[in-house]
Amino acid sequence: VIATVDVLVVDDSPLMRRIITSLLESDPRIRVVATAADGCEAIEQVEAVRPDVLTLDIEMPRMNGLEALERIMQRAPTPVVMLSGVGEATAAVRALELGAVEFVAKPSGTVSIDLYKVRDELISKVKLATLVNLDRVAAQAGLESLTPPAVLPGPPASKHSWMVAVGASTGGPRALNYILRCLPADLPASVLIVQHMPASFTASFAQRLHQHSALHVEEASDGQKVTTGSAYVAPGGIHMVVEKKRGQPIIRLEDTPPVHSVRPSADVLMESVARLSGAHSIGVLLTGMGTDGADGLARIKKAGGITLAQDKGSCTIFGMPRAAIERHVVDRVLPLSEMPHAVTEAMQKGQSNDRAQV
Amino acid sequence: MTEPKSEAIPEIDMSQFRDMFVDESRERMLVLNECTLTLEHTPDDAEALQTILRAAHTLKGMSATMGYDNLARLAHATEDVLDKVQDSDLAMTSELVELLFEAIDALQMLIDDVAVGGTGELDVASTLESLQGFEPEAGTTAHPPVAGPGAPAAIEKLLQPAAATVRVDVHHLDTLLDVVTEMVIHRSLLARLEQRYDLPPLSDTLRVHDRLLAQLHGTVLKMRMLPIGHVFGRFPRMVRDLLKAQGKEARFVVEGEAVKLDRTALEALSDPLVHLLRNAIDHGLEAPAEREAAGKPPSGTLHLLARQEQDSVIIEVGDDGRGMDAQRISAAAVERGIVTAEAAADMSEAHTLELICHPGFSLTEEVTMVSGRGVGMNVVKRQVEALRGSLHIETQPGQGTTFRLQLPAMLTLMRALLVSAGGELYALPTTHVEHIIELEPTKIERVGDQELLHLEDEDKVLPLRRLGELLNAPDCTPDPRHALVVRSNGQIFGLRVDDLLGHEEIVVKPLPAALRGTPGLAGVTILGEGQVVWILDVMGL
Repeated sequence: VIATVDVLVVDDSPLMRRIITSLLESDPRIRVVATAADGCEAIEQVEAVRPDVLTLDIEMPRMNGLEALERIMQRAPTPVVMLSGVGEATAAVRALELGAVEFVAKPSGTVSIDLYKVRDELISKVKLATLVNLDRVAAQAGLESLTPPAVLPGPPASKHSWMVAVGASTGGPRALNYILRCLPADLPASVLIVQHMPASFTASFAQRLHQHSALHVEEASDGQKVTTGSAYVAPGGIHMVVEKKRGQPIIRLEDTPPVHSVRPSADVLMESVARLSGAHSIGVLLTGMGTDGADGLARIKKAGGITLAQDKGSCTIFGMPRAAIERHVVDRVLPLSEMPHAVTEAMQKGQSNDRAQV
Repeated sequence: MTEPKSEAIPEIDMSQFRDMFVDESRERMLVLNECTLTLEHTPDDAEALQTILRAAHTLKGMSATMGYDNLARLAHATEDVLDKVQDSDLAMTSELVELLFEAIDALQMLIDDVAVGGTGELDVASTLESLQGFEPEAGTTAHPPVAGPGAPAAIEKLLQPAAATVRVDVHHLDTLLDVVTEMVIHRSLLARLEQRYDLPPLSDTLRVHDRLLAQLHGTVLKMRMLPIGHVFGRFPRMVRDLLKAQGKEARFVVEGEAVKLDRTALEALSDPLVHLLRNAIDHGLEAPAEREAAGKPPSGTLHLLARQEQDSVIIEVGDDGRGMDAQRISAAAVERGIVTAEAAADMSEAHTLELICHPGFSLTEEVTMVSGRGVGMNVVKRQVEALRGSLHIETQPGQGTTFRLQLPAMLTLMRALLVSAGGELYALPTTHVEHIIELEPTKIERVGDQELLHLEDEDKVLPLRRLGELLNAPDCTPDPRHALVVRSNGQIFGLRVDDLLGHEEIVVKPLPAALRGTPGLAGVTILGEGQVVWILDVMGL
């Protein structure tokens, strides 16, 4: 852990640079060492001052934030926290694919956002960004173009359908993107995803996943039927659970308090999946800070399901998987590249177990 | 991700950012205006659309961050409209341009409210509704009353600070200049010590010190310089609106936005330029029908140019309208009793034209209409002269009129003629001095108490005054040997002084508080030798 975090603030508005600087510096451990007014300056400053973290605006003259991000990740990988308006969800999601560690929604008109919340989120995400596994971030930047993953063959059809509950936080969007690209359209399972992300961005994120995946991916809505070959992303700011209604699994969105300070919580989702799907549950815990999902994996394991966690080497932040591993509730610890296969394999094994029992 | 624990983090006082918000949002408004004008002229200018979108977007974010929700909503609605235009790939229609201008005016109103301490919660519901109800559809392409300015993003580029810049409170800049000026003055005291003690190492050190001080002084003066585009930027919109209101047509050519001027001058120039442009449209430029009848193209040209010439900045405001009629101005001036018929007959055309700047002349609306030039020219001239500049008028009947302002590029440095009278030293801005004359008895006539100066070359007689007496200086030389021909505010007279000490570049400092308001004194400077020199206010003599 570093004593102070040196930050480069990038925004085309001098006012916003001043305000972001004073928000950040209200924390004694953060120091803004430089500012830049556009992407070109940002690239120069990154190389000149070598900040620990940079905050990056999206809309800027000369060179926008996405372009700058891409080049910074190639030339001088540095943890980046995107600052974007709620109207820029698509660009923000793209930024995560390009290697941004986190993003913070800044106040921008339609929704009034409490500046103190923005400050707290900004400070915690900037500090969090210093903890990321930069090698991973850099190696994964542009991952989609380097290694287009093959879609796996589907497991044999079965009368049982499966439920895969996935929990992810920092670094999760890219990991999820990779996994969903590999899963086949005839997957005999529904995939339920909790990705910690500001509420205004989850819809764009789901849409982006949908574009890349053979599965049907959408942002979940309350009361929606859960079908196989589909994936559902929990909307930001609300818990997602599954329950049975007239024998049919459906999604419930519940406005209950945050669990371990997060909402949606992977624990809450996984607990409901374990209850509903029992031995046909698969819990997957991906990169991210904190402990969310460890309790959930424990529930799935106890119900006879299968639990998988991403390994340290492929995690952007090895936090949530580590918490679960330390509690001895993880069946297999795997690099991201093996995770999709592990999921389909678990179903095949489960299926043969089913047949053996018959 | 875990949510942050609430530590004891200090409160943030957002009001500290208000001035900065107002400054920056006004710059964004300039960009909005400028690019909307461009789009009116070139409806498919994608770059201008992109620029304006970004300006609205940034304004929205800034306002929301500052908690000015009404302003943020309005900026957001504006951005949405522009987004729709960009997405639907539609060209600007004239209806849309009007809608954008309405939005810009409403935004401006809210920003102005913030500037005076409000929160921008004024009623803009109807504009907001119009914006939100906007649906892109094929309409008539915009037809501009004015051909807009050339480069769309020029103004944005101009206002974007260069790579590494910081914003500094103007008061700090002023203080810095004061301090450096004091240092320049103190340097002269060091020079005296240097002479007295004659220590070579001291002299060497002082040489270095001089060079550094000169560099420092130059840098501080440069820090205060801003591109004149800061003032020019808001004129295209104003000109467009005025033209539209009067049913006139003209191309508005703006050049030289990058020319830099001291910021004090920049602020003081805004009103005179507004006045000159307004006059050019009101009185100079003819209606399209009148122009056609005179064999001119129905659409005229207005120009606003700035350029640097050595130590001066020249600004021209011109039109190709009806021009001014010197004879009628002369006749009107005589009729108003401003000049005698004889004096009027003697006047050069340039001097005749200057009569429109005489207070007695331009107060009269009727005469203004006749002369084709506006009320308040005396104010314009006074403001320009207060900046130690000068105003020249050129006109060709039927062809147009050009007003040329000449201003010192660096406001605090002045070229002056040093003179002595009654044992004191005085500095006269060279802009006011027309000739220097060695006095001979044949050149002076006496009429009662009054001395008159006879100018043989020009066959003119001017009133002759003694500087020492005008300033009630104690030891007046009985018969000063030199005279200056001084011109100010349309008046011309001879000024007797004891001695001439030559030209000097001087640093202008304000008068000490106790002497402020003394007629005839504009400021003070201290020469290299530590000598105090009073700067004369010629108009006040």
